[in-house]
Amino acid sequence: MRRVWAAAALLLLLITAALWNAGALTRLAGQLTQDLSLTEQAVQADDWDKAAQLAGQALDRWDRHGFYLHITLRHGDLQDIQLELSRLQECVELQDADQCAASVSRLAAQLNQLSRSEQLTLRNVL
Amino acid sequence: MIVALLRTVILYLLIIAGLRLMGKRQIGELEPSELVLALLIADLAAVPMQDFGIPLLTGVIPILTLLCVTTILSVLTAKSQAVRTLLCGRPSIIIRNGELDQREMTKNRFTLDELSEELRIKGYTDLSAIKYAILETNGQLSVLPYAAQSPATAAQMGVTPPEPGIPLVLISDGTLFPANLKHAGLDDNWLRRRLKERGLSSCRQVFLLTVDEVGKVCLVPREKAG
Repeated sequence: MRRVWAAAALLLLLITAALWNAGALTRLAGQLTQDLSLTEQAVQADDWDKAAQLAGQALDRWDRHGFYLHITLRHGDLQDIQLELSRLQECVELQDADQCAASVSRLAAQLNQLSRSEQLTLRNVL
Repeated sequence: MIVALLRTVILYLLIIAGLRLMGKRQIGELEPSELVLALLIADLAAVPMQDFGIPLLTGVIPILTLLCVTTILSVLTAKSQAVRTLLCGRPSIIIRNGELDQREMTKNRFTLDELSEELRIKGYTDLSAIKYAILETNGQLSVLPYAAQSPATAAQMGVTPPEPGIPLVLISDGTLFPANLKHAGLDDNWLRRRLKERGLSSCRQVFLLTVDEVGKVCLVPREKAG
């Protein structure tokens, strides 16, 4: 009977960890999307210094969660976002507003997809 | 992760249900849930092993989930007859009092050829000699002959034969096992005498040498290479 309780406890722990992971990923995607949205606003306002600072902040935030993200998500998806974040920084440095807008739009879509793919929805389960 | 976990549980239960629907003949010696577990764990472990772009956790979490679900199901199976019937099914009586139950055979998709083969393997050729033949939940056929058709036992005949026990292998393919020789309470002199009786001079000339608890020796010399 002890074994069944251990199995039930482990299963409960796995479910809790999985739900926490979905929540944590949604929060991270939300924070990054917020950073990117502010970056885009700064670009539109022609405030390139602030845009560079916000884009760097988004990249730092992404890098800080690098280990956690690599052990929970497909590496290919993460590399795509990493590359796009680097591309956004280049666009900001080159002060190319159109490319920045395109890059922010792509990143927002990728982050949204990443967060949605881990949510407990019938669509994902099926 | 939560999606992987739920998908694992759904797929596991689905495959068990599928195997139960396929019937006992497909299962072999494993219970349905054991077969599913073996198949799934092997496959789940292989994917992250081959693809380094997939985090290890995507393999580890489904495997842990499967092990937890299996442990819970195995305890429920042991405690509840209803769960046991649901997961493992019930044995089916294929022959009752020497008569074939054709409905049970059709239900289990058990053909006459398969039945004949199983009966031959168990040493029966005459259906009328069989009281019961039961298709067990693990896919094996148990055959219970009529008492009059069962081989007489030593006890029924009032004979007390010596108990031979398990034969110990002393030489296998030319290799001597000294530990087994010692365990049987024998020594090199005994071994040399046995070899000499058969015109052999070395262990290397022996393919198999066994001795049981009553001292009965079985010696098979090695055939000379053609």
